[in-house]
Amino acid sequence: MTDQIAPPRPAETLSSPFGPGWTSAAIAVHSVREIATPLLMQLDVAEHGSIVIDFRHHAFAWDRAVTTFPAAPSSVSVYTQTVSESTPSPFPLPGYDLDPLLWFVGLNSFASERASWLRPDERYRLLRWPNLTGLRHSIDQMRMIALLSNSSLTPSELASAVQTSPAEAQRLVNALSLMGILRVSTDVSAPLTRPRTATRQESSLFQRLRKRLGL
Amino acid sequence: MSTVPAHHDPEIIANGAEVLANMKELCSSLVYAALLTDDGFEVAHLPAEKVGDNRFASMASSVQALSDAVTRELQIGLSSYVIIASDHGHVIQRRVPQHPLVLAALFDDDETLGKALSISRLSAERMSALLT
Amino acid sequence: MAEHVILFAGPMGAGKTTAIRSLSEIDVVSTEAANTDRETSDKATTTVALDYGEIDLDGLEKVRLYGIPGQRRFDFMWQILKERAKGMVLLINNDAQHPLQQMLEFLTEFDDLYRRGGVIIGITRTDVTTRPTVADYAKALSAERPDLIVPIFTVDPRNADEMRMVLMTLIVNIETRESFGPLEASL
Repeated sequence: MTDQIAPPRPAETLSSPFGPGWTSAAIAVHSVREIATPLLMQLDVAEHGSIVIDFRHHAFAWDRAVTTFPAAPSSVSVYTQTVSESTPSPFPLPGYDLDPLLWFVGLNSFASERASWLRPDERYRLLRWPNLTGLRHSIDQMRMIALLSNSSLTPSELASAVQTSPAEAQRLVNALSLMGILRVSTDVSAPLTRPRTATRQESSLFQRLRKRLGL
Repeated sequence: MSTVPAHHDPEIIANGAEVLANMKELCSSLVYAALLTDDGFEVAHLPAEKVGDNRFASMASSVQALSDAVTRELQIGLSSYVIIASDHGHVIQRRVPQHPLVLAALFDDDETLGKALSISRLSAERMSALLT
Repeated sequence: MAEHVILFAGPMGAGKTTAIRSLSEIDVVSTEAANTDRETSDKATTTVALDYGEIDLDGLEKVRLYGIPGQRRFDFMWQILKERAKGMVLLINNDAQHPLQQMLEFLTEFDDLYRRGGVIIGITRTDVTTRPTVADYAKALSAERPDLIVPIFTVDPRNADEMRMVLMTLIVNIETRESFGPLEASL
C-alpha cells in the first residue's frame, strides 16, 4: 500500500500538541471531510500495520479485525493522496464500513478534551443515529446519543443529564462529530430544547429493564 | 402432492364451491361460508357477495391459529372447532381433517347451535373426502 | 400489573418471530400456519395472528413483546395491537425486493407510534446482501420524514445481545423523547 500513497510533502505533515496516539489521525480525517476533493488516506499505526481509507466509498481496509484497534498507539503517521472519482479503490470493495473506525478514533483522541475543530459553548444535536450494532459502546453513551437525537446540548449539559463525567461526554461528542453526524448550534442565549422535567433515571423503565437484563 | 396452492388449484376451488353449496342446501340459515387456507387465503365462498372488507378469510385464519395456541398452551389436545356467538348469529369454524384448510361459516340466529355444528362437521368431512 | 407493549413489525421473512424468541423469557406463543405464498417468501410457515413473548421485570411489571403478521391481509391485527403499543421494532430484511419502500410503507401504517418517537428500525439479513446500506435507509427516511431521527441499526434477530441492545435503544429513545415533549423551536 505504501507504494500507492506517497508520503506527504512537508506542508501536509500533521502534528498535534496532544502527542502520540490517534489525535493526528482525527485532525486529518476531519480536514478531509471538510473538502470536496476525493482522497485516499493511509494511517501507519505503530506495531499495528496500515489502515487505508477510501473516503469515496466510506470504507477502509486493514489486515486485522476492527476489534483489535489499539487505544493508545505510540504513533500514527498520516499520508494522503488525491485521486479522481474514477480511480479504482486500492482495496477490494466494500471493505470495512468507515463509521466504526471514526467512532474509535474520535473516542480515543484529544485526551478526552474538546476536539480542535469544536468551539466552546457550542450545542450539538444528532443528524442521524450511528449504527450501534457495529460500535462498541456503553449504556451511558446510548443514553447520551438518545439525548442528542431529541435536543441540543453542550457536552457539560450532556454529562449532567446522564450523570457521567464531562470527559466522557466530550469523548462522545468528538466521536460523533468526526463521524459527521452532529449538527452544531452556536446559539447559547437560551437552550433550544430543554427537558420539561428532570429525567428521573432511577424510576425509568430503561433502568429497570437494564437491571433485569444485567446490562 | 400438488405444489399449486389450494386457493389457486381449480379442482380444490371447485370442490370447495360444491361443499359450500351443499351446506346451503342443508341449512337455509347459512348466511356466509368460506373455505380458506391455514394462512388466510380464500379458496371458495358463498354467497357470491363478500362480507365486510373482504378480510373474513384472514380473520378466520387468525382465529383458528389463536384457538390452536390456546389448546396447546392448556395442553388439552387439538382445537375441535371455534364458536363466535353474537347478537345476530354464530360463526363456527373448524379444520378440514388432514388438510391445511379451514371451513368457516356464519349462521343466523334462527339456527340451533347443535345443527350448525353438525352441518359444519359433516361439510368439513365431506371436503376432506373429496380431496383425498 | 404494569405492562409495556412493544410491537415487532415488518414484512414477511424479516425475522420478527425470531427476534421475539431471542428476547422472550417464556416460550414464545406463536400462531404459525403453512405458507402458501412462496412467491413473497420462501418460508415454510408464516405468522397469521401474532407472536407473544415477555420479559418479567419484577413480578409486578412486564414488557410484552407482540409480533404482528407481515402480510397486509392481516392488517386488522396491526390495528388491534398498535393501540396498546408503547413502541415498535420495525424489522426490514435487506434482501427483500423493495426494502426502502417497505420501510416507508410500514412507517406510514404506524404513523402514530413513529410520531411519538416510538420506533427503531432493524435491518436484517445484511449478511446476505450489503445493499442498501444503513446510510441509504437513513437518506430515504430523511427525504420523506425530515422531522424525526429514528435509530436504524443492522441486526441479526437470532442474536440475543443485539436484540437486547435494540430494545434498550428503543426504550431510552421513547423515554428521552417523552421527557422533552414536542419541539419548542425549530433549528
